[in-house]
Amino acid sequence: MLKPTTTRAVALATLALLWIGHTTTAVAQEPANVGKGQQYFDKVCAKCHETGVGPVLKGRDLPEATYIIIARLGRNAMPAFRITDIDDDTLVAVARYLAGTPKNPDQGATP
Amino acid sequence: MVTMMNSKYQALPKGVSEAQFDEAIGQFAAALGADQVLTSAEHLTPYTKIMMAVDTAEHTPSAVLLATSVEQVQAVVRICNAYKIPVWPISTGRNFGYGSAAPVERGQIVLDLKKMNKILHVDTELCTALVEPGVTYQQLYDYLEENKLPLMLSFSAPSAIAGPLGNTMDRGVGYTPYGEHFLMQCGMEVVLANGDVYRTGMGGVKGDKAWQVFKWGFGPTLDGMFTQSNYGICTKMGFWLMPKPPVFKPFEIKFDNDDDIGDIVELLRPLRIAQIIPNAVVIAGTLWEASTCNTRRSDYLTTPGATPDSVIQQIRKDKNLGAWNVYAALYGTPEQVEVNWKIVTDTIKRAGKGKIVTQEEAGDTQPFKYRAQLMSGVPNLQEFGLYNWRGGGGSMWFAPVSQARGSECGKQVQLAKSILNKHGLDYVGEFIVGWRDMHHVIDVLYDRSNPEEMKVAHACFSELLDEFEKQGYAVYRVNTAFQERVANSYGPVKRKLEQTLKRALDPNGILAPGKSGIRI
Ligand SMILES: Cc1cc2nc3c(=O)[nH]c(=O)nc-3n(C[C@H](O)[C@H](O)[C@H](O)COP(=O)(O)OP(=O)(O)OC[C@H]3O[C@@H](n4cnc5c(N)ncnc54)[C@H](O)[C@@H]3O)c2cc1C
Repeated sequence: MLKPTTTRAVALATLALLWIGHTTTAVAQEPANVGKGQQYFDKVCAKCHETGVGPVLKGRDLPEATYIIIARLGRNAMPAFRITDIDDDTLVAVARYLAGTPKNPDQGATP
Repeated sequence: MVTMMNSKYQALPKGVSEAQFDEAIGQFAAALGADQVLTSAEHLTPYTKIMMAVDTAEHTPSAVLLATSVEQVQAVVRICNAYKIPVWPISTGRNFGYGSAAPVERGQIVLDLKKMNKILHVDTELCTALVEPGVTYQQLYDYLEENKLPLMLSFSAPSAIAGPLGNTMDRGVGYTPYGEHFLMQCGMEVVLANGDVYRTGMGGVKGDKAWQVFKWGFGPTLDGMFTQSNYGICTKMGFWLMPKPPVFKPFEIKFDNDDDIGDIVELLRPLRIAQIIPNAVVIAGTLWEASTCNTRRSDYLTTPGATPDSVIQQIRKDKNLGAWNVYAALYGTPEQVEVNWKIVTDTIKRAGKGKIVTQEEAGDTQPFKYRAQLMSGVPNLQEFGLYNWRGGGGSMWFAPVSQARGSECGKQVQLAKSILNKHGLDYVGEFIVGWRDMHHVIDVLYDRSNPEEMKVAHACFSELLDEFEKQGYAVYRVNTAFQERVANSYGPVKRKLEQTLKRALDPNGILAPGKSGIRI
């Protein structure tokens, strides 16, 4: 039997690894990358996450990996974002941008 | 439940061994480049995110291929034929509530065309566009804005991430006067199962310039045959764009009573057929409205089951919503809009019911704001608010067609509501007014993280299909778990003809077998 939860767990672990792999490359990158992340966030993510449709993502004080994993897997009604929707570099930039937004005490820690 | 052997793949195509699949994957990698062939859990998982009430494993692909050119699509069908591997094409892959990006059957390969995303041309004089499959509505909108082109898009509500080619291939709808998208499609390029590249309409004529302006060409017109089907992979699509009108005047009409639906339809139909109101009008029920202005069921109730009418009444009061909320718009020169506005307001006055709300009155409030955006081609994702009503991410659209006749619409609402409520679910529905028809769109919302509720939603959806069929109604489109069931509603002769065509065009049955119930 294939349990969806197993696939999910495997995927989560792989995605976390992917993220760790990326932090090293991303560290070496220019701050221009942050611009790319914010740009994508404003164009796509903000249409739900800044309008009250989805949870607020800015100022949550969450690790970058959380954003990456949820974007790739989706969550409840939030669609999953495929590699063709957002490439790994841009996704890391989005996560970096969000993780770097100043902590907002009004926002809880759970996404 | 699906059994799986110990394999390095997430799934395998039916009847294909792992060794054969290894070989095929090698061929795909040679044709497309290894990085365009995805088989890992990490890459495939986003393609398995579905909203239907069935096990995710039933729709897990064996691989995903990313093509970047027509030649690559031809190479894919060649290899699929050689290994008898079924392939499920998607364009922008945002078919939420209808199957999302996942294939109709476990083990099919997804051919993701999102990387073919060129806007090939936009003609501002003839008001036409030609695009590749991966172009999103947002991309097209940005293109029009950046180049200050006076044209307006029509799109489905998930506009910011969905796209015109995929939406039109599934015969989706939007909210402007061009809202019936397939009606506005003009010229298609299709890769057939044998690798031929076929162009519909004028597209086959050497030196032709009329591909995007004259639909019919010469002889049989086959465009429709390629929609909601599996006879070819569309690689280019032309369609018409509406010139941006000098005046756009959106408005809402709120009606107080559930029983008003019949009168609303009778009032609006003549205005719609005569094009006084030219757009795909929406008549939205209370709970649709409530959830798109950030109302949650948990704000009112913590007990499971159908939401009682008394609570729905309370929500109407609290949020200032009608039982039915009509959204429509006028488009044109100031003079045209003035004349038509008088006709609309006089009609409502004469009816003695219905409260008109203008944009000036509504201001920036939801759901008026996103409705106005949908009616004027400005992308947004506000309608995802529907999923906050119950939470849990379960959604299956039940979308029966009806005549635009008051008595018919009232009957459908009652029937749908009684079946949904019997299963402890809510009627969250709207009518999208075509020219003479209604797409009665009901979102069967349920908590997909709760296995019990998943079962209930599946049973409810089946009953909706059965009971509506008994009354002579069928849906215009359905999620990938119910393709076979809905194909049966349309009768055996149609199915036999479709199978004959399938056998002739795709003898190995490699293109999306099971789409609309069509197989060799
Ligand atoms: C909140 C919400 C609101 C929605 N509102 C609407 C709405 O207003 N109107 C509406 O129509 N839908 C609506 N939908 C459903 C759906 O999300 C949209 O129809 C969306 O536009 C479809 O996804 P897409 O455009 O990315 O097309 P895709 O997912 O790319 O394509 C849809 C299907 O068409 C076929 N197909 C795609 N590309 C090809 C090809 N190149 N060759 C052959 N076959 C192909 C495939 O079977 C595919 O599954 C809504 C969904 C949600 C969640």
